[in-house]
Amino acid sequence: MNKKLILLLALFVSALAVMGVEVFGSLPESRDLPTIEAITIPESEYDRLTEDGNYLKVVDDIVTEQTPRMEFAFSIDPMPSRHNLTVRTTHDGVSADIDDINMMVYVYFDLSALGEVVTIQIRDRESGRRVELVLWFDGADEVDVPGF
Amino acid sequence: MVERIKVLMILQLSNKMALKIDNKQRLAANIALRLLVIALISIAMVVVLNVLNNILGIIVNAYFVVFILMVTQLFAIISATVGLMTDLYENRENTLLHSYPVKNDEVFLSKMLVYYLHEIVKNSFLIVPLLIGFGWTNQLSVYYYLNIVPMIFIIPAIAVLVAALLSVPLAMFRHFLSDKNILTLIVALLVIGLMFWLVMRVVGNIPTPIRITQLYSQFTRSINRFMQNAASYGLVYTAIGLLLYGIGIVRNYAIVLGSLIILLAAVVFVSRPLYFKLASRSMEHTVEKVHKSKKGTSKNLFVTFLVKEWRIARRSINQLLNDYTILIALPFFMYMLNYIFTNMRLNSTGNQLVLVFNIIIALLLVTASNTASASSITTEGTEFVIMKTAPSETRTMAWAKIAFNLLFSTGIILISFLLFQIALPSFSTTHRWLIFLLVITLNAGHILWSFQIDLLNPKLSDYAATGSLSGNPNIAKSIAGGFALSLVFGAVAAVVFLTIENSVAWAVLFILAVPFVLLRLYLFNSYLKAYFIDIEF
Repeated sequence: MNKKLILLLALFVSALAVMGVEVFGSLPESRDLPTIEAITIPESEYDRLTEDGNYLKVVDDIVTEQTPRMEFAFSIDPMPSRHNLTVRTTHDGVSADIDDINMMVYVYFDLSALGEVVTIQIRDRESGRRVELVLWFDGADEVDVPGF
Repeated sequence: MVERIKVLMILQLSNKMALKIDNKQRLAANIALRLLVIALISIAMVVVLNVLNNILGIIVNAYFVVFILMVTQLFAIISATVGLMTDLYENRENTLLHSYPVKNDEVFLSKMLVYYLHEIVKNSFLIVPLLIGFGWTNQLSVYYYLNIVPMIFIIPAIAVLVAALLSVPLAMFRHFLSDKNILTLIVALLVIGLMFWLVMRVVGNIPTPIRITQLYSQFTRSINRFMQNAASYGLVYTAIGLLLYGIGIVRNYAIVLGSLIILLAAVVFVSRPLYFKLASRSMEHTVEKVHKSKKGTSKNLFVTFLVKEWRIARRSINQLLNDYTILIALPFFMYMLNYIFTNMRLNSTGNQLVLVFNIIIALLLVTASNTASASSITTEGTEFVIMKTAPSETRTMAWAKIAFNLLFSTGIILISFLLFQIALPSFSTTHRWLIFLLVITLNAGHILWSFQIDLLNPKLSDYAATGSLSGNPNIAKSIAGGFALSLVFGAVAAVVFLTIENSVAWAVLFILAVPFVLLRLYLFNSYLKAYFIDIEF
């Protein structure tokens, strides 16, 4: 046994401590808040609406080989509300993260997925409400907008 | 020249590994075993990368590879720099190698090549499985795997060349500090203070109240963004990541090979000419001793030995800091953990768990720091037998050593808790100082225990021959004992804090801790009286 191992053990115990206290020692979230009634994407974050009522954004100049990522804002109504937001994409090479504190979605493209049209869906598990944003490349081979 | 370098390399390698091959079957089995280990690590990497990608939400793509390469190679460069500072300039074999009919450049080159081989072997067990695992996870083409082959040689070469360059100014800086103990102490304190301030700034950015589930998603999001942004600053490692992924292969190979040539040229024109000058510097005469004759004798033997310990510590601040490095981590751990705990919405069980985990972590770190006690007699080396010939009660030196270690470690623990108090005043003051009292009580018992381990089996001749404590079994035993002590008291704390009132729980812990210290004191005293006289070189 050596000092490095003990340091690693201390790190492990610390992580365990935080998890243990979270699971067994923290108060539950308040259930008094109302659920979400609408999820919307502000006008500044999309270019036009599709026939299906989905939002569409052209990203040729935003998502490039040098910066294969983008982010967009969204809002929920009412605020504050009880929610459990998740985000999904329609392409394996595109991942997304949702920040429900700052109301932002971060989208990451694999280099192999650059140029592919992809739909990002934000969904609230508590209320079942959802919204979709299509990220469109003008030079894309595909014509059909992929959906869920 | 090539033949001389080959001989020099064999001489150095034979010190590190068994080179004589008696049995070809055994050699083949050895190679097969190593390949099997690499294959097993690769499978483990596939599992880990899949868990990261599919369960933990960390995106495993080309930028992930660049980021992991950057991080692992940063550690590889730090480790190689420290290793080369010793291997190139301070290794005891230098005296022997330079006495051979060879040129200084040949010694330098042979040392660099030996280190490079060592890095290739090391990398084959980490970077290669990682790259294979990454390729499998992302179902990359056969060209990806073909590109891994040159990387087996290129990645360690970059690390060793950068380390060779960095080791020159660092060796000079170390040499500069070698006779300036006060300056070393000031530099160390400034670095620790700066690190603590940085930790406070980083931890202070966590949004409160802390909700771990949200914090986790924010954490993964930050990691993903950070990895993508970091790839822009990855220099040669970005080029390696992209070429592995099949992007701009010619351009990125040109960048990698160009970087290698520039590094090689820098080593040839900067490190090589300075090598002999630095390697032949002796530290022996760096301390200018001003001897002032002083009349007077101490009547108290204990005080004499205690003053001696203080003088040794003052003259070797580096060693002292090295002995207590892990204890310096204590305020960092306590601050970070308790910042999170105090900003969580805790129920009564949560408050009790906070106390239990604080006790376990503080004990783990404190008891792992008593290595100085577990090597107190060993580090006397050849001087121990001379000291024993003195016509007095020389076993008093053991008590002086214990008193010094006890005072020093208690001082650092006190500073840690004071820092903790200043940085996080919202934590209960009563509990904070009760944890402090419990920790220093058990630490006293563990110091006695550690010293007893060394007393019963000191490695005087080993230390005298090598000057190193590496692989010392007494230190390992002391750390293992401390670990066991932390677990036992952690378990007792968990039971008592979760079942009975706090005041009674504290009483139970102290009722167990105080007899433990008294028992260790009694045992140590008995063993000291019985065995000190028998210690031989």
